[in-house]
Amino acid sequence: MSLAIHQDDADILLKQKNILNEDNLEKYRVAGQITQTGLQYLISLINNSYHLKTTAKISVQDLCLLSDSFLFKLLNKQYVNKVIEKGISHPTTINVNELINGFAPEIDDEREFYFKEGDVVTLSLGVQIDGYTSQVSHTIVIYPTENNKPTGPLLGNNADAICACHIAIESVIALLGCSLNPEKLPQNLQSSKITGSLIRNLVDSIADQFNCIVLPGSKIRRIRRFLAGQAEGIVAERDFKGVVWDESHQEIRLLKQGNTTQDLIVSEKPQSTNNSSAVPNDEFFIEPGEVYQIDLKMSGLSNLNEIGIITTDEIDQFSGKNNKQDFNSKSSIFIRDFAITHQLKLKTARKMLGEVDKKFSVYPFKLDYIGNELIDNEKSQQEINEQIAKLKQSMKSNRLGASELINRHLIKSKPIQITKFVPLKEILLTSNPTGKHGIDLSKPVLPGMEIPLPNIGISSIKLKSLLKTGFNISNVRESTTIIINNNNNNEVLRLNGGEQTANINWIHSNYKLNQDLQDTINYLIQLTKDKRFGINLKTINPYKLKQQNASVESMQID
Amino acid sequence: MVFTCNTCNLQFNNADDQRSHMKSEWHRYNLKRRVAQLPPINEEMFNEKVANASVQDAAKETTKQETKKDQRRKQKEEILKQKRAILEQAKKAMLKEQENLAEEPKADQEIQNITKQVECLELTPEQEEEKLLKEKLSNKTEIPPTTCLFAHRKYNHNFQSIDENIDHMFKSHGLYIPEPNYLVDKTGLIEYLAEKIGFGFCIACNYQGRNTDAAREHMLNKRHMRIPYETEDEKLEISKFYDFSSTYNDEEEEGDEVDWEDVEEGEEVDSEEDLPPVEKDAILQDGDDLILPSGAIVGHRSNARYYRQNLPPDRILTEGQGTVIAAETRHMLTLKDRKEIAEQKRTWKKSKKMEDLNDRRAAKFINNQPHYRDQLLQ
Repeated sequence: MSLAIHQDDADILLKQKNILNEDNLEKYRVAGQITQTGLQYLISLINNSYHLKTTAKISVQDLCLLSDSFLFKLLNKQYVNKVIEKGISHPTTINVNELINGFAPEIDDEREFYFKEGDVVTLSLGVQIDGYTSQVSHTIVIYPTENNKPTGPLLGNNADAICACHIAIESVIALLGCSLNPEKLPQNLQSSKITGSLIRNLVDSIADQFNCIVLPGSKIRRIRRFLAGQAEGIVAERDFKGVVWDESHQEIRLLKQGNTTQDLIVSEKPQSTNNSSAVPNDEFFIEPGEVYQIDLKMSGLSNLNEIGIITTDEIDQFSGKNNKQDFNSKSSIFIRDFAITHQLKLKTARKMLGEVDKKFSVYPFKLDYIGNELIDNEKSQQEINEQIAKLKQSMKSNRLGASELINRHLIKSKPIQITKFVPLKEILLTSNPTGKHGIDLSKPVLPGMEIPLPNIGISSIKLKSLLKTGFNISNVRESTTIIINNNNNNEVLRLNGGEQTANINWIHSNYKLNQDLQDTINYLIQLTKDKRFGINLKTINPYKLKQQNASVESMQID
Repeated sequence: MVFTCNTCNLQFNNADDQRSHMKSEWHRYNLKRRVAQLPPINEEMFNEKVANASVQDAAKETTKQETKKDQRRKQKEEILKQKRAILEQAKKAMLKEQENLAEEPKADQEIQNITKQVECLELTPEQEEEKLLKEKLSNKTEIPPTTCLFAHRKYNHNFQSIDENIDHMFKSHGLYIPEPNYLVDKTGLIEYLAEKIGFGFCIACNYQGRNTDAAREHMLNKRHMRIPYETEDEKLEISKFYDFSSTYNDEEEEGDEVDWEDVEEGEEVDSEEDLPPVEKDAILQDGDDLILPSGAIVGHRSNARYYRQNLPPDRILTEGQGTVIAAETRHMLTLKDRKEIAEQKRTWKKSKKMEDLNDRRAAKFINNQPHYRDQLLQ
């Protein structure tokens, strides 16, 4: 196998194609618009069926399918025959409560996945046009309703987390926007340039004020054409630039809190396993002309009275069969690994691989995308049901092909993850004879972050074994893509999210920001309010849509 | 028994005469003539020549006292003298003209001169080329196809018909027209050659003379009175006067008789579709391959093993895949060295063998008795 890209080609692909000219900006803009519209559509579907009750309750698998087919329909209208590669960059996932990643059940899943009142539901989706990617996540709350109005605000740890997440996202956008005119940076940050550590400190302090934890897997990273973090944990991306949170940062926080650092620290200092540019570190500067993905996941700790580490656990079809855990699900999102070639035996597998290479390229996909048209949202309910039945049929042969592809590592499944709280007491009581060399290969982590707790010396395998002593904890997630556009009219372009589509729900948090931090954040957010104040922030609007399934507008929740 | 000398066309009565003749200067001279393909001369002529030559030699000897340098100097001086004389004449003429002409026309002349110069300056390279071409064209002499191409005008070799002309040129100048059986346009060919000579070209070596006569002189001296017909280009040059279509069918059949293998006809035909349609019934040979009029390529049996290979097509990456591969830093992308793996396997095998041998050797000394009794203690 001789898969190597010539240096000249690599320069073109990695550098020149990422220069923000009018053409590329337009592609980003269209991608952003599609995600905005998709998110609005998905939220209106949920509101209609769970809050307004104008339609029957729609299950999670149906919501995923409807949203994906809606995105495909919008994509089909844009850049027809003008770009070779366009599509969904992040299949719609709907993660409820403790689920954090990758839950997008297939349409032939017989179980009933419905939301309950009081659930926090994270909706994530993304599209790419010619590799220019826009990805959005937003957490909504399912309320008990009375006269089409929620009976009260959400309280408790989830409310704290939603609040912290929202404030963190808004202030980070402002902070990144400051790179266009650094003289506007707040004085108390004591920095003339925006570094990774500055961003981390800001987010961590906001999370601390709301008694929240920034969960492992949260990141604020630069994205490039075709490199939008869709294959994290599989591809070790060159020149990674971004702030990444994992368990080790919680560890550092705990060590600071306890003031017992000297006792706990094992002689060896944390060190990364290699020093390539693929390993994230905070020593970088935000530069104008870059595109950033801000993806923050948080969990509130207010109902816990012990300290511990929040980590993620993978769920597969076998989990829950050996102990009390009762939830299991097959992972349904796959991504092609282009580093691997193999002569396949099954005809269905070969056919499927050809189609995957052609249709989805380097982005993740679901099995129901393959080989058939997705359903048409505008048709009547009966026709949709017929189409769904057809889809279920074709899923069987797709499964067969996919199983060989997975066995040969040609495609990798993206795991479904849940967040778990493991008490620190349990971690400290265990022995760890393998040292930090027991690496859990099934867990996708960025290079250099294989050891979750380097100071205490707990390997990922050990932490996995400790998960049974922990318990599930719900999380919330907000993410958005922004462009720091330094062309002619210095502006910050927010591709998705914002007040129009990802409006924050009615929540109430008991915590308040302290005066110092509040001043800084108020100042930062003030900057974005008008371009005269410093930052010209523009948010992409969704398409104006007719409501298809229900004529009622989505519910106003204050 | 007759003794002869074939070189000088002589007969001798005895061997001694013949031998003495063979040693003579006359015979040697005739030998040299024979080498130069000239007829022999008789003794009288030879003696005359010798006498002439000796006179010339004597004259040369007298003049030889002057060196070549001196000769050249003298020549130069003479030329200079002539030039001076011409210049003086010209001066005189000019002075006379100046006296005769009024001032105005003079000015006019100057202006004209200047404009001419300007014109010369304004000429672009292209225009200059055109000018040269025009000059060349004006230089052309028409040679009708019924006239001998090679003889000077003064001989006036005109004939009634082209055939007669060709016959003449064949006999007296040795012009052979290649492939006469397939020659369709005889007049055209002769006209083409006549045009070429008319412009002052040699037909055999593309020598370019100043005019037609120079070309003819060249061809006569160099014996270049022939049509070159060896390389592909030379054949193509006069190919429009020929028609070989009657031969094609035979060759194709021949091709079938020899061992040819069909090389993936379908694919080749596909690739040919974009090209302009091949001239019908054309067969081109490219190394061991034959390209048929249909566009299919027929390969030779000796290469069959290569044609039979079923290689996978090259992987064409899309831009996205290329970007991801370019940004990839995993090290597993390098291919494992097969030799290294084979070497490793051999080592494993060897060590396993040694282990087995050791085990077997050790097994000999294992005591399998259920109740061990020491022999010495009995």
